[in-house]
Amino acid sequence: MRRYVRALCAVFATGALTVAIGCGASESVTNPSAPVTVGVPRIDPSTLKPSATYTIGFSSLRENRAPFAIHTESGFSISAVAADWMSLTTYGNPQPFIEFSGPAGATTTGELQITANGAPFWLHSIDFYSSTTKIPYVIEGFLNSEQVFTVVDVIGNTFGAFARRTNPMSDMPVQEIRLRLSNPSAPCCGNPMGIDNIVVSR
Amino acid sequence: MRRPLVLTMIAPLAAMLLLVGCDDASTAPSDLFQLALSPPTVAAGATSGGTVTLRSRMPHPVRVDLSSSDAVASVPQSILVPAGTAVAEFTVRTRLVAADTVARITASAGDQQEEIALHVIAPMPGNQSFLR
Repeated sequence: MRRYVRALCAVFATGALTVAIGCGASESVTNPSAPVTVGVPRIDPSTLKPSATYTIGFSSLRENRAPFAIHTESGFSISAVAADWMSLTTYGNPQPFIEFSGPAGATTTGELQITANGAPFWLHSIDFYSSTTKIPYVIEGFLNSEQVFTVVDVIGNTFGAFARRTNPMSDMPVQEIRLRLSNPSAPCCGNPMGIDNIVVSR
Repeated sequence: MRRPLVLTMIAPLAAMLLLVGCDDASTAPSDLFQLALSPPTVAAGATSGGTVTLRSRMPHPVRVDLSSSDAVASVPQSILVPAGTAVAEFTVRTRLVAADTVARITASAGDQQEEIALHVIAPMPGNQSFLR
């Protein structure tokens, strides 16, 4: 009988040990493989340094109040993603600049995309404009198709003047910038909001 | 003076028809489907669940077109309510914005159009920057 109990204990002990080792082994195999992007070389941000700085001032826009879809300057492309953007040649910092309008009593989102044909670049600053409202904005930076930073800010009412804001993440290289402006028009009246002088380096 | 018998009979009938007609008119529109959002208020960057519910099951699939009035919220172009079912769900994705924004989500099928407001709440004001 004693021998039988001892044998039973041995079986249980062996089983418990096996389970423990098994669990331990499965825990140690938790090294997820990094996602592989086929065909597109991954950019290592630590190897990049800017060599030249450019100010995108929209100087080639000639037609006042023309619909704005895309603008290319110094190898950078600025595309309208959301809202009806237009070029303004009668105002700017200096003129021209681009703006979109929000209807009275509503908050309208205007969005722009900035790229350098897939090349990495750095965003340093943007000049913001609004006629009668504060300027809430979001900047999102993307590298290797991943979002690498977000900036959320609200500029107080400038009463029609341009306000320059530097990017606190200007040391982070990106391949794409998404700029989203919220245009919180007053109940009485629509409001134009826009940007000028995008300072970037590459 | 006595009223003609014909008038006595027709008047109540006409009134009844008018009432029935009015009742029909008040329930006739918005017969095909209902639109709902849950929750109707979300933080910027979060999602809300949309539901299209048919008033009755159809023997054929029903396509419902969707749109958003503002870039802060995006919806699929359309959803399909499968044949024999009454409900189809979709996701409303919102983006990070720095001001509270109302996006009007619209669903349309056939002659019917339903609209519902999605309130997108911005994060607290002030300069915030962070790495993702």
